[in-house]
Amino acid sequence: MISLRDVSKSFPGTREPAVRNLSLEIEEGHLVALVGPSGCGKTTTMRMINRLIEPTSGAILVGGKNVLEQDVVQLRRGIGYVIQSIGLLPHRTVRQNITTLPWLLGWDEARITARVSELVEMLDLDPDLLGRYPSELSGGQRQRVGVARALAADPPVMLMDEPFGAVDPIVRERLQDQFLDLQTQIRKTIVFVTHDIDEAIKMADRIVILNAGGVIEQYAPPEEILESPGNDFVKQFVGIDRGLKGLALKESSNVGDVITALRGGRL
Amino acid sequence: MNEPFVRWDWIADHVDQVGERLLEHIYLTALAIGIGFVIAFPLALLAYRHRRFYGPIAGVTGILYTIPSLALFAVLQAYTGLSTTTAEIGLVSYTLLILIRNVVSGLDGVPGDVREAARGMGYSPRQILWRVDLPLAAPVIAAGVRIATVTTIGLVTVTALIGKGGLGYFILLGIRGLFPTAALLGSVLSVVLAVVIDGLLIGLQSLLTPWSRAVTARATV
Repeated sequence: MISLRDVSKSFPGTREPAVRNLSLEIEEGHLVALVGPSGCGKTTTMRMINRLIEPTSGAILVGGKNVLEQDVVQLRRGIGYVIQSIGLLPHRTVRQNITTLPWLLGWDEARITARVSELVEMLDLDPDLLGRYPSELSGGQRQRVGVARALAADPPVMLMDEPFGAVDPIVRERLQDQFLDLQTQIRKTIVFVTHDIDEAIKMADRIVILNAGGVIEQYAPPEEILESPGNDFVKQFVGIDRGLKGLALKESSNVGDVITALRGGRL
Repeated sequence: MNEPFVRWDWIADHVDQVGERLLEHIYLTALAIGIGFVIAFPLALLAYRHRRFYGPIAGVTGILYTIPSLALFAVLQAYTGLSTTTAEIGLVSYTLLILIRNVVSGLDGVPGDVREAARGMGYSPRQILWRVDLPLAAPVIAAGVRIATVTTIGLVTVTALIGKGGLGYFILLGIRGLFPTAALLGSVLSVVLAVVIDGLLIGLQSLLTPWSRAVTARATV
């Protein structure tokens, strides 16, 4: 669904490219997390997909079409986009924020109204919030409105940059659970940037571990990253408690497994 | 001295003239702000988009702003005579610096993440300007219009020297004739006009930017 081929990005005035010869295939309906330390190029990589950053070289295909050959405004309207600070328009109500894209796309009022009701239900939003301004919302509400806005025109592809990063851990966990639940129904193709390996393990179908300069250290499902980290960098990045994380991930995990693991010295 | 400091009977006799001069005052002010904004707005957008123009634009309008108004009107009337044109050239010149600076700093104050999100959603550059940047800059731009308006209301009185002046006519009359009633009348009404119009502009701004009145959250997740 999304295909990056030999993509590089050099910013003017820097010696080393931010991303060098990166190639990546993302399957339809997958949530792929880009993880890595700061400066690894994960956000740059994501922002090249909707051309908020123009690649220096290489090709990026979304749905089989090269994004570099498309009108940039039309391209972005077809891709959902959520950033950490959300960036809701402070001078528009929640409803106006959510309906931004359908409105830009020229949907009629009946269709927009129907879509708003769907989104309110999908994201479990209080309908009373629709008439409020973003400054009147809590952090968690804002985050959900941001996701609703990105989903409004039902894009097949979504880009999410630390979408749950700006809220406290308890709210974050709730938002993650809710979004995972939603994703099993809507099956979007999602690129999810996070610096938090635990979040990546929880959310992703596959994880890309990036090192400085956009070098892919490993691209694998979470279980595989935990059980057989590809190299020392991955091992270190995932952390020493990876055995425990692996158990937490397995639905079949029970007390017996933990004891076995402890005896085997894997924890 | 038997003559009272303020001759109320004189004021009562001149109510019609006061009305006329008040309207002239408002007219000269509104015209100056209107023309000033039409000139300042595109210059401010240019300065905002291309920073290298901001220095020269601010420099030239800054110099205009510092010219003493008496001197400016004296020089101008040699070319354009005792006319509304002379008055407006001067008055407009003084609005430019304030208006341009406020439009630019209003646009500078638009949160980066809001603009970034709008860009990422597929707003065109023109839509970002009209639907994101300008509405969010509106309070600062409105503040500039208010300062420029109040300043202009004060300056209009000086144009009495070139035969205009609105309420400044009474001030000049009072000074020339050593007649405090007229000078006071002109001054007090000019100040009252400035305060009233400033209040009206505050109300208008609040009406046009309802989001800035919204109370900050008490809601929970």
